[in-house]
Order: sequence, then C-alpha cells, then structure tokens
Amino acid sequence: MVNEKRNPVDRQDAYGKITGKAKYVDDLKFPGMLYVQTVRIPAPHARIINIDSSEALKLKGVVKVLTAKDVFGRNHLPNDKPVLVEDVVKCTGDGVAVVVAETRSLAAKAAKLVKVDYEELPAVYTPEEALAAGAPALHGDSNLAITHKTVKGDIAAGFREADVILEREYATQRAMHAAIEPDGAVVVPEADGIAVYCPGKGPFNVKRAVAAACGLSENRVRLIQPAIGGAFGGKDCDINVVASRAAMAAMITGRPCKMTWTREEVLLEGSKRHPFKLNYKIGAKKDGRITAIEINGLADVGAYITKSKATIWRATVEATGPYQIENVSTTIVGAFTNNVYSDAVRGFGSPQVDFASESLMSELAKELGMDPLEIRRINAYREGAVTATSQKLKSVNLIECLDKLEEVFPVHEKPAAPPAGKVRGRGISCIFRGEANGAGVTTLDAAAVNLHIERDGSITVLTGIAEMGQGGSNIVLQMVSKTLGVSIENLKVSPLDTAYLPDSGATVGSRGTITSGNAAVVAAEDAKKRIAKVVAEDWGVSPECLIFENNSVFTDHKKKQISFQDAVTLSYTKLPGVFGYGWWSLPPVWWDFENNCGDTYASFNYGACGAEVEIDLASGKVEIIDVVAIHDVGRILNEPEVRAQIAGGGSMAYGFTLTEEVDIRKGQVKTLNFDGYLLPTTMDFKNFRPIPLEPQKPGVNPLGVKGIGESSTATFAPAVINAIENALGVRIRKLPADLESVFAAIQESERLGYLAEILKGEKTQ
Amino acid sequence: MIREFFQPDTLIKALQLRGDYEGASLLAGGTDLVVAMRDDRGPEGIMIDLSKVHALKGIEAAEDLIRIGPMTTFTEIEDSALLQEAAGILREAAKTVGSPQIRNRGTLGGNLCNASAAGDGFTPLLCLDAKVELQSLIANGTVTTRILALEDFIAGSKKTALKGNEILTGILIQRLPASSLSAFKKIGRRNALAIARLSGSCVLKLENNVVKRIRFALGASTSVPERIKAVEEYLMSRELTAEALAETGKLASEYVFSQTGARSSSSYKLPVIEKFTVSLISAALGGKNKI
Repeated sequence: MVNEKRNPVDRQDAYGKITGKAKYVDDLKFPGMLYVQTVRIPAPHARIINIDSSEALKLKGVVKVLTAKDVFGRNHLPNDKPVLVEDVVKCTGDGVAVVVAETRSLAAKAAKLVKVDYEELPAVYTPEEALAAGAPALHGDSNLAITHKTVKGDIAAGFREADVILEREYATQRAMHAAIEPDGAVVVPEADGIAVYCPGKGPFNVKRAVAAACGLSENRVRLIQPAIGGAFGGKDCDINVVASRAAMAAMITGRPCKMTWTREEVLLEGSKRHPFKLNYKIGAKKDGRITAIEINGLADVGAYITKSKATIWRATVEATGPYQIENVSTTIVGAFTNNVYSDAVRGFGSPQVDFASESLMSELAKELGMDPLEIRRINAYREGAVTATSQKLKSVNLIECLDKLEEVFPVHEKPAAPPAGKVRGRGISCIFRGEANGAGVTTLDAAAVNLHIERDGSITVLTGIAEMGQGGSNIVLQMVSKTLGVSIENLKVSPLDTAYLPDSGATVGSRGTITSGNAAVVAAEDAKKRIAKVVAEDWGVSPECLIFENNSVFTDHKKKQISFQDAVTLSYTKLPGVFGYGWWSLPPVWWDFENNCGDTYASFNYGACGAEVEIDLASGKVEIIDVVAIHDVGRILNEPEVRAQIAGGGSMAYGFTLTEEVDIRKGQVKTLNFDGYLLPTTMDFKNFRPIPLEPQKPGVNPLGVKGIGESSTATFAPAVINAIENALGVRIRKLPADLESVFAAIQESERLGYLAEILKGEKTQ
Repeated sequence: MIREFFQPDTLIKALQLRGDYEGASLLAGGTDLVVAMRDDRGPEGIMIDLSKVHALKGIEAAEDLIRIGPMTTFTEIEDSALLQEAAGILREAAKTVGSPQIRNRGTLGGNLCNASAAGDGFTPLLCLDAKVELQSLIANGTVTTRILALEDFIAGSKKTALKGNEILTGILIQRLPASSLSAFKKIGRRNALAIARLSGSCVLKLENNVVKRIRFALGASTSVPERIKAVEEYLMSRELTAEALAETGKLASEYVFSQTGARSSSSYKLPVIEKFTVSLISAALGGKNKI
C-alpha cells in the first residue's frame, strides 16, 4: 500500500468540489421554497417601539413578516445573541424581523418596507468607554463581560530582581473569517420535525440551537450538512441564528425556507475576531532571564457574549508566551460594546496575545543587546516546566522547533542587499498553544466514529467531523484504512446527517485529528476484533495472531490467508452485523475559577517562525521574501495535508498582519465587502515554507498527534512585525501594519537617523 | 432597473441605438457597471451591450500611429507584442489591473469612460499623448467623428466629455520612439485585485542627461488622473541631477496639496507622492542612470 503519510492521498471531498458536483447550501432548491430576509435598523443601540409590516405585506409574493414574538422556543441564552431582537437592538447587525417571500429579490425589497419605530439609546463603542463609570449597560448593570486571570509567584519581587524593565502596549484589530461561502441555511418542514440543510462546522451544535429556538426536542431536528465553503472559525454562532430564522419561517409557512447571507450581511451581522489591547510589563536580568511579567488586556466582546469567555480564557492562559517565568500576573477583561459581536475566529485568542508577547520578546532582546533566538532559548519551556496556572507540561517541543528554525532560517545573518529604494529585515517568533477545547469548555472533549462494513467488503464510515476543506474526514479514512489494512478507495465517508451519525463534537479548537483520528482507530479496532474472531475460529488459531494488511487477513508467514472481502463474507455467516463503533475523548482537564489555576489543556503544541521582509521606502509596501513556519504536530499522518494546513494558516495570518481590518465607526460597519476587506492573494502570500515537525516526544494521545489548524495562524504576525522592526529600527505595535503605518515607521526611522545608518550599512556590505 | 437590453452586432447599429435612446448606458466588460448594478447604484432604463461589435476590438498599427479598439481587454493589451514594443507602459499598467478574470473582461474603453481617478489605463495614455475618437450618427444617418485629446476627454471626477449619443470608438497613440525612457508604477494595498492607492507614468527623452521631452502623470492623487505640469515644466531643458529629481518630488506633492487641500489621507499621500515621483522618474531612467 502507498505510504499515506508522505504521499498525497486522493481527497474524497475534492472530486465534487473540483468538478462542480458538490452542492453548497445556496445551490439547494426545494419545490415551493421561500426566501427569508433579515430586517435591520441603522442604530447601534435602540429600543424598538413598533414594527409595522403592513407596507411590506402589500407586495404581491410577500408571505409573512415575522418578529421576536413569533419565535417558538428560546430566543436566546442570557447575554447572548437572539434569533430576533425582542426589545433593544444592541448593534447594527441585529435582526429585528424577517420577511418571507416568494423570491430573494422580493424579500430584499420588502425588508426595506418594514417600518421600525425606535428610540435611540446612548451607546458605547470601545471597551474603555464601556467600562467607564456611568456608561450605558448592554446587559444587566455593567458591561464587564468576563475577567480571566493567572497568578504565579510575586511580581513585585520579580521586578525588583530585574536589571531591565520594559512596558509596552500592543493592539490588534477587528478581523474576520472571510470564508468565500457566506452563512446560509435551508429548512424543510417534515412530518415529524424539520430538516435543516446548513454548513455549520458544529452540526450537532446547530441542531441543538435550532431545536431550542423552535421549541422542538433535539431528535425532531435533523441537520444535513451540504459541502462547506470554508469556515475559518466561523459558521458557528452566526449560522445558528441564520438556521433558526429559516426554521421559524419554515414552521410558520409550512414551506421550505432559505436564508443565505450576502457578503454585506456577513460583514454587518457576522461575528468577528476580538480586538485586543494588551499592556505588557516585563522584567529581565542582563543575561536575558525573565524575572517577572505583568499583563493587562482589554478585549472588545461586542454586543453579545457567545464564546468570548472561552476565547479570553485561552488568551489569558497563553499570554506570557512559551516561557518559564516564576512571577506572573495576567488579567484580561472582556467588555460589551455596541459593536458587532466577537466570537471564534481561527486562532481563538492566540494570535492576539502571541503577536504581543513575541513582539515584546524581540523588544527585550534588543534592549539587552541579545540575539532574539538566544533570549527565547534561555527562557523557553522545557519538559516538566510548570506554567503560570501551575500545570506541569508534558510533550514540550519548543527547543526542537527553535533548533529547526536555526537550521533552516539564517537567523543570525544579514539579509542580502535589497534593490535600490528598499530595505530588508529578518524576525522570528515562537509559540505554545493549548490542544483542543481545553478546560475553557466544560463538556468532555470527545468524538465518535462508526463504520459499517458492507457485504461486499466496502466500508461506510460515519463521522460527525465537518469537512471544511482541511482534510479532516480523509484523516478518519486513513486511520480506518491503516487499522483494517484496507485500501482507502474501499472506504467512503457517509454524508453528514445528524439523523443517523454519532456526535463527533464541533470541528473547532484544532481538535479534529486528535479526537476523530483516535476515535477512528478505536472504531476500526472494534470491527477488526469481530472479523478476527470469526476468521480465527474458522482457522483454529488465536485471533491475536491475525494480520490485517493489503486488503487481506493472514497468519504469520501467510500460512493461512484470506482476502478482506472473503473474511467479511465469512463474518456475515456467523455475525448479525459487521461494524465498528468507536468513541474517544481527551483526558479530562480542569480549571479552578476561584484560584485561577488548573490543568488547562491536555497538552500544548509548539511552533517557531522566521520571516524576511522587503520594504519599499517610497510606499511602505511590504513584500515577503521568505517565511518558514515550523510546527510541532506530534506525529505526521499526512504530510501534504499538514503542510497545506500550515500554509493556509499562514496566509490567513498574512491578512491579519498586513491588510485585513473591519472598520467600524460609532457602531456603523464601514467595511462591507471584499473591496475594502483585503484578503491576500497568491501574488502576496508567497515564499512560504511550511515545516511540520515530528519531535522526539509525541502528543499525549494514542496516535501521538497534535492539532495544527490554529497554531498555524499565530506565529506569522510577530515574526513579520519583528522583521519590519529589524529593517527600519522602528517598531509597529498595532495591527494591521498597513501601508500607512509602515510608511509612518519609515518616516520615523528617517527622523531618528536610523534609516540613513541602515542604508549606509547596505552600501558598505 | 434595466428595462431593455440591446446587443448590436455592428458599430452602425450600436450608434443607431445610442442615437435613438440618447443617454442609454453602454456595457463594455461590466467590471464596474455590473458591480454598481448589484449595489443598486447602476444605470436605469436602457442598456446597450457592445461585446458583439467587433469593430471596437483589437489593436492596429499604421506607421507610427496605433489604434486600440475600446473593447480591447486588458488581457489583450497585456499579451500584445506590438504594445510591448511600442507602448510598454500601457502594457505594464494593464498587467496591474485587478486579477486575470477581471483583465479578461475589463476593457480599456470601459476604464476610460468610467473615469475613475484611480483608473489604471489613464496615466500611461496621458504620457503617450493619447487621443480618443468619439462617434455618433447624425439625423441623415452619417457618422460624425470627434477627436479629443485624452486630457480633454476627462471632464472631472467620474465625468467624461462623451455625449449622450456618442460612443468611444478608438484610442489613438503614437508609437513611443526607441530612444524614449518610460515607466509605470502603482502602489496598491496588495499585489493583485488592488485599486491604485497611487499610480503614475513617466515618459522621458534625455540628451546628455538634459531633459528634452517629458510627460509625467499621476493617478489616484487628485480628483482626476492628470499630467503634473509643474514637474514637467521644471524638468524641461534641465539637467537631471539628484537635486533636480528631489525637487520634482516636492513639486508634485505641492501641486497635489494645492488641488486637494488637507484630507484624512494626506498624511500618507503627500509624502508618498514626493518619494513616488522620484522613484517613478528613477525607474524610467532604468538603473542605467542611477542617481
């Protein structure tokens, strides 16, 4: 059989996507289908007085106008986003009503005719405003959404011990997922419930959310997942709301109802990455050893809580960076504002703190006149290190990542001389990142894979892991194929339908391969045991001595041999069914909210990045000359896939670093399409070298794997920003480093005389 | 909303329709128009699609005169060996338009008629002394032709001198002499699919390092793409020293400031225009003449 670890395996989802046969939610049509359009008002904070739908209903083809009064079940959880606003609009994205009409354009036209009377309320647009005394509160009596802390040692003593103390402030912007497919759902009423066609990345979560909103029991809502056109951390809380609105329309009209957002609606209502402001104070000895760190952060939660608690918790746990520091105090606060809400975006709080902590490490190295790699090595977590949350770390592979970085990236050399009018610089970064959901999520982090072996020996694999393009379902197939010794071509992933699939949890937290990969092995072992028992009895041997390989089952030295297909045929003569069921969960983790300590994540993964940039001095345009991204993935299951996933994370991070921002002013979203939200293209994201690393110590699970989906987004920004600093002598502390801020840094470098020195250095080279 | 849609297959039919439905909107590649229509900013009433009018396509040369059909796509301009040799800066500009898909659809004529200050086609054509040919049908059925300098065709921000009964039928340029130096540059926020933050072209003729002829135009800096006469006049008959070059940057920036006043973008644009001007002229000199 082919070595699937090194060689590309055909992706079963790829064929449909390449040929156009794959059906996305907006491709779906049902007889009698209606279209649902959300009605919004332009005020970021307002009390609704009256909703008059009479004009809209006069249009021929408009079937219904629905409001919060029509929501059958639970409109929202406390402080959370409602299906439709009952009373007070808290951001301009909020839906106050939906129009249901025969065509999409009619629904859009009618939505403009719904007359909403409202009284504007005072609003808050920044976390600082939100937390000021007397600020108008969005929920309850305060805008304080969440505070997370970690405390270790005595920071006052740590700072007294320091030879150097730096205080720096960093800020990150409001960015977004930017999946090419916008959120959408089609809901079809059925005799005993509803079928929801919806590309949610957590199909069972969407099912539960829709059931609650519709007042249905969970077994009467069936979620069928069409092909997903990208998620990047989205297709989550947003799509719960989209599906709930369509479901409510379908239940009331008794007809299939579709709601798919336009790009503008994704920008207006869809969740965004939390903007962070982070104040760091760090103390170190002259030799580079860090003695204390104090971190105070403020995150913009936006109008609703959704998953902000878990996001800010992760950021708090990871805020120091991967360093052994005895005296730590971290506090990150999230505040409600009248901005569009913040929620999970690939990286989930890590890219923000990693940008800050890794910028700071390079600032500290410069202050101490030290090599930036050396200072990281001195302070790096090593096996058995104890974190700020009193967790003893296992499978710590940071030094290996840094060694690899030094091997493949010329950290210590000057870049080649650039063309006239340009300067070049190099920068590095490194991270640690908690595996899977961690203790920020209280349910057990589990996944299921079931497989049914058909009578012809082919295998149907049932997994709830969402294939969003990352290759998650193929990893499941690979594990089944390997365990049963059956070619991957003989396997097929079943369509994702919650009516008969087991719950594998949401495809979030970089948990897909860890949880379902291990569950797939458990399921395949279960099936193997059943078949082995039948074959072994037939041959009069012990089941343990059977080998499953090359589509056959045999004993040692192939004294006895049978094809896998014949083994299955034989099994069906003895067994009522041939199947394998597997559940697997990560070991439990815990968090003590009183004492701010705990085993936060089962384990962490590590990464290091080196970047060389070239800056055009006339415009501030930054070009990537070379980026190497090294990631500890525990064990590589499929090298082409993991390399692609690292590159994908890198390209997402490129936008976060240099070009992407959702501009919101006074609660009004100004960036409403991709002409203003600037994703990098292949012409920008280039010269990127992804390096998955198999370290000495694998991950702490049977497959030894670690997740890579999100870590890949976290190292790029600090490495590139450190490289820009290295080129200009001036530091940018706010993302994105767009043309204006890089050009301002060039001007600052000129003013301080650094640039003249740098250019003189080039000439003498 | 578009009520009627015509797709004439000859220029005469197109001119006839344009005369019959004066002010009807013209559809070229659609890369601006269709986007505007989706945003409810599009034209109302009648639309005439020019995509089947073959007479409006293609690039021809006769002696030193080059005629570019307005329905020529940016891809065709990019791929044109003739333009590469005779008007390299136009080809350079075409390469920076949008993405391959947009260049396959977007046309030079559409770019000019849309008359955005950031239109990539303008600055090279201004430096090539381009003229536009505008045609219409008069009452007796004969075609009348107006030839305007491109500068005169640009009537203001998003405005042209095209009359309601006219169609842009040709873009005329002179072959650039082999001895000319030229460059096109564009600053965008990314390397493809970028609307110019600033763009510019320069055509120079030097004798003994003295400027004998110069065209210098900037786009996306004032309300219209335009030649910066202050720079041209300053450099004319002047020796191209480092000091002179530095002065051009200041002059360009001062001129733009005089036109736009202080805007929110000025803190970036004005100093960048200064440096960009210097780097653009330096690029025209092509490294051989490093200052």
